[in-house]
This record gives sequence, C-alpha cells and structure tokens, in this order.
Amino acid sequence: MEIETILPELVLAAAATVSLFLSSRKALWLGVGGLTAAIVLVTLSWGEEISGGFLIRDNFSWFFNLIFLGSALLVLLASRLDLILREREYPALIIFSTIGMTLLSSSNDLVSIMLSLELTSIPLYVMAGLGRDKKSAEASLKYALLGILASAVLIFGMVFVFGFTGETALPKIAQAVSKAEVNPGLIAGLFLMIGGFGFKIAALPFHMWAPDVYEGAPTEVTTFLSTASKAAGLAVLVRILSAFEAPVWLDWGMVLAILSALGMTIGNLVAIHQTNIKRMLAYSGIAHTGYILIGVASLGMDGAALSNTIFYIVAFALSDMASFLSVIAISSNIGSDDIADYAGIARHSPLVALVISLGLISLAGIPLTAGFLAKLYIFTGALDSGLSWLVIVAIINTVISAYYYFKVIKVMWFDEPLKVNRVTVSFLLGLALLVSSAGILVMGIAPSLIMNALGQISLPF
Amino acid sequence: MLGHYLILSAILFSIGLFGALSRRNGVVILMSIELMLNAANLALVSFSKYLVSQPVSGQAFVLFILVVAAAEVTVALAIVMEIYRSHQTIDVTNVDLMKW
Amino acid sequence: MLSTYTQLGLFLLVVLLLAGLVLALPVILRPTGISPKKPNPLKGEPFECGMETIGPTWIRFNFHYYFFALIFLAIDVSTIFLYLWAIQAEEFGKNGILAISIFFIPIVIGYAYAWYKGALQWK
Repeated sequence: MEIETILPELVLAAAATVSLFLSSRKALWLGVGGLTAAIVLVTLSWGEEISGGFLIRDNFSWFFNLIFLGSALLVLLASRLDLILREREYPALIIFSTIGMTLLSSSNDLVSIMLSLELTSIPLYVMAGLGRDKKSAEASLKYALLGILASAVLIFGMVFVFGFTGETALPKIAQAVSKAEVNPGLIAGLFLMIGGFGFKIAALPFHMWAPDVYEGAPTEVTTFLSTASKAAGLAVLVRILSAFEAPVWLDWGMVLAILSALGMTIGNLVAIHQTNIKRMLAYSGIAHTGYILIGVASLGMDGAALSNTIFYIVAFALSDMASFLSVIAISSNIGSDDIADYAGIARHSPLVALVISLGLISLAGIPLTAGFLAKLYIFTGALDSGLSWLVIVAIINTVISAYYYFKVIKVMWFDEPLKVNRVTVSFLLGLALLVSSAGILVMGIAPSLIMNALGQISLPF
Repeated sequence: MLGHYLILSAILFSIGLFGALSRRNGVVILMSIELMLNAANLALVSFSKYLVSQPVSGQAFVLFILVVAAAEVTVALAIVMEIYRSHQTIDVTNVDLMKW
Repeated sequence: MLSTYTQLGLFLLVVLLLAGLVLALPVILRPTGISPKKPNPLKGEPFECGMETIGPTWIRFNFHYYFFALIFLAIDVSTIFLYLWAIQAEEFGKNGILAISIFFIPIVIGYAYAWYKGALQWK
C-alpha cells in the first residue's frame, strides 16, 4: 500500500491534530486550510485508481470525497463565531468526522467500513451536544444511544455476512455471494446491515432520531449531518449493495423500494405539520432519502442508476446546504427557529430570503434548479427498470411536498413582519451561501458539467 | 458445535436488543448494547473456528470490534454525564424536551 | 459445507423476529389493559440484585475521576494491539517496531492533549 492512498487523510489528520493545540481562530483557519489542501489533492487524483488492502480509491470514492470535503468546508466557513470561540475542538471534530467519511467511501473491506463508520459517527455524537443547552445535550444523548445501537446491529449483520461467505473483503464477498445457494443467514446479515446504514441515512423505519437531533443540535452540526453524513451512509450502502448484486433470491431492490415509498410518504405528510423549520427540514430530509433510495433500488437493473443517484445526492446536499445555512443566518439574528417568526423576513433582508427560497424550491423540484433535474433523472431511470408504481408514489409525494416548502416561502415574502430585525450576514457565511446557491443554479441549468464526471464513475463488481 | 455457539450468540443479541429498546436508564441501555456487541464477537470467533478457511481475518475483526465498543461507550458515558448535569436524571423517558 | 448451516440462518431470523415481537406486544396490548405501564423506581435501577443502595447513588464525586478513567481506557485498549505485536515481535523485526511506533503516535498525541488541557491535574 502506497502512502498516496491515504494522502488527503494524512493532511487532514495533521491539520486537525495541530489545530487542537492552537487558539480558536487559528484552529479555524488551519482547518479551512487543511480541507482546501485535501480538496486540491483529491481533485488532482481524479481518474486514478489505487487499491491497497482495506481501501480502494476509484472515481466513485474521489467524487464522494469531494462532496464530504466540500460540505465540511462550507459548514466550517459558515459556523457562528461564538460557537468556534467557545469550543476550540469544533474544527478538529468536524475534520475527524470528515476523515471517517472519506475513508468510508473508499472502504473495500468490512473491517475498514466498520472502523471508518465509527470514526464518522463518534465526533458527530459529541458535536450534537456542542450547543451546551438542555436541548443540545438531549440531542446528543439520543443520537449517541441510537447510533451505537444501530452500529451494534450493523456489526452483527457484518458478522453473518462474514460467517456465511468466509471473507471480509468486498470483492471476495461478491464472488462468494454469486456462487452461494439460498441462505437465510446471508439474507439476515444483509438486512441487518441495511438497517444499520438506514439509521445513518435516516431512512424511514430507522429515522426516529433525525427530527430531534436536527432540532436540538447546533444548526451548523445539523447542516453537516444532513448533507455529508447522509451522503457518506449512501455511498457505503451503494458500494455494499453492488457486491450483493448477483443472486436472484436476495432481492434487496424490492425491500429498498418499499422503504423508499414509506419514507417519501410519511416524511412528507409529517413535514406538513411542523412549526419548527429545522424539524420540517429533517422530515423533508427523510422524504428525500426516500427519493434517493428509488435510485439505489434500481441499481441492479438500470445502467445509468448509479450516476442518477449520485446526481440526486449532490443536488440534495446543495439544496439542503443552502436552506440550512440560511437558517443559521436568520435564526442567529431573530433568535428563533419557528416558521411563524420568519414572517416578512424578505422585506428587510431580501438576499437571505432569496437564498433560502432557492434552496426550498430546489428541494421541491421546480424547473431550472438542481432538484428538478435530479428528480427527472431518477424517475425516468426507475421507469426504465420497471418500478413505475414507485414513480407514481414519488410524483404524488412531490406535489404534497411542494405545499409545505411554498408555505415557508409565502410566510417569508408575503406575511406582515412581526419584528423589524435586519439579518446581518458575516462575510464567510455570505460566501458559503453564494457557493451553495450558485451550485444549485449551475446544476439546474447546465447539468452536463456534472453528468460528464459522473459518467466516468463505475463500481468494480 | 457451531450451532450451539450461534444459538447462544443469537440469544445474547436478542436479550441485548430487548434491553436496549425497553430500558429507561441510559447506563443500562449502554450495558445492553455491549451485550449485543459481545454477541457479535462470540459469533465471529465461532465462525472463525468452525467454518472459515482463513480464521485470521475474523479474529482480527473481533479485536477491532472490542476497540470500537470501548470508544463508543466512553463517549456515550461522557454524554450521559452531561445529561445528568443538565437534566438531573439519566432516565431517558424524562429527557423529553422534544418528542421522539 | 456452508449449506449445512442454512437452517441456522433460518433460526437466527426467527430469534430476531421473536425479539421484535416481544418489543411490539406491550405497545399493541396496552389499550386492552393486559399490559399496563407502571414505572416504579425499582425497575429503573441499574443493578437488579445485590445490596440495596442507600441514599442517592449519584453522589457528588470529583469529576476528574472521569478523565483519568478515559485516559486509562484509551491506553488499556491499545494494549490489545500491543499483545498481537509482542507475540510475533522477533519475526516482524525493525518494521514491526516502526509500525507499532506509528500506531502509538495518535495515542501519545491524545495523552499530550489531555495533559495540555489540564485533565491530569488533581483538583
């Protein structure tokens, strides 16, 4: 194994470790520098394929690494200064979690998947509690207890996959599975693993933690959870499922399709009643996990499903990023997360209101935004692979979801303002808002830029 | 023989799962989850002993699971301490500012 | 060889289903009155046998115990890997020593950080 296999991680780890011993501001800048350096390194390695031992760095992992590093960088730039000044470990925690994610998307072995999943999660448990109030402590407890439970279930599943295939390396597991006979132990193992990852990505039956943790955690951490952490779980889920592609008796596609239909429907219906914007976005995130699972479910049947799924993940990450970052900006000024308190924000601060509206419009899937094309690609792909009932459910859900997204937009632009509170935005937060909203528009108008890169991604087995 | 170990492991796992989901004391939940992880370890070593041609990878897996379990429990206990400081209780049903 | 154990996998599925059933039953039966919810302090206790505890169990003890325990745990667990290296140390030779030193760098940094934060000071 050569050192360049983990060069970006080494740079990040060095930056994070040194930043622990510096003052808060220097730690922030060192963190930003380390992330930027890692982004440059990853971009330069695009197209290379290095595999060594537990890890494989192919285009799939490089692309996901860019998603994680990019969202970590945006979150770090957008973080409120008082949080950074109070918690000196905050940049280091974000970076350690990002290292876990980049390793997770490059893992080629059950052992390294488990280890990097824990490296991703453990800093996140701590970060959820950084708000230092009762709600934040509660979010941290719920996330940690349920997260550890989920990883125990995941590990039990891995043990059975190991036991009944005799291998821990994914390519060898893929070989063994393609030769295996009908085996309930393998089925149990795979579904326990899907359960464990379903928790990480907040798919429906394992979503209970998401609304509470999203509401209680500091909004910066929520942003990171809903973009990078979700993308990491999806990346590793796709990689593992592609190793289980061969046998007919192991029909995970149908199970994922059912989870997806449930997730979309319940996520959207519950989101309608939410009064807190972070809770609403949490349920909308659960619904969007459902849409993404449509793509994952058709992985085995449709050749373009992989690039469609990744396109959706990027589009969702950008739109959610824009929405949550604007929530940071607005809530830190008006001191409330209630949608009712957002009344008339647009009168005083039209720019921030424009960004959050753009994010919500893209989440709803209106043309000219990234979200529209993402939905279009995923739905047409699913139609080609014969999941037309799922597409019908998804389209009905898209219509339902437009209602609550537009309710927020209506409150912001047309309701009478309650308080006269100008939203002031720091330069760095403004930069992060600009980047994410530009990303939404670019992906919505010129999708070929990203689709060309996605066309070069393939999974080895 | 393998059957006996796996049955024990499955029973341990189920007891752990039941405890983790039905108990209300944060520390007991953590103890139950440890039980689940140990069930996984037991299954791993028995698979390595009886079924698998190359037992080394399974046995190494056990060590990593032990380390991960220690790290998780350390962080979770710290969080339970923080909850006790802010809420004066570690009963998870009383930690309900937000609805589950 | 593997196929002889398929019935075991089936058994595992049944066990998991049973665990789920036991969890779901009280929730389903609650409206019928068969399984009422009666929490009492005894049920919430962490240890269900042995001496009864006297007074509040969460007495105010020095918070620094926790940091010591944490650092102890990190170093304690790292010895697992030290053992593996130690039994084969002669075969691994110089590369083995190098590898195990690299493995210990993060632990030493963590220890240094705890020291730097003053966690090792008994107040």
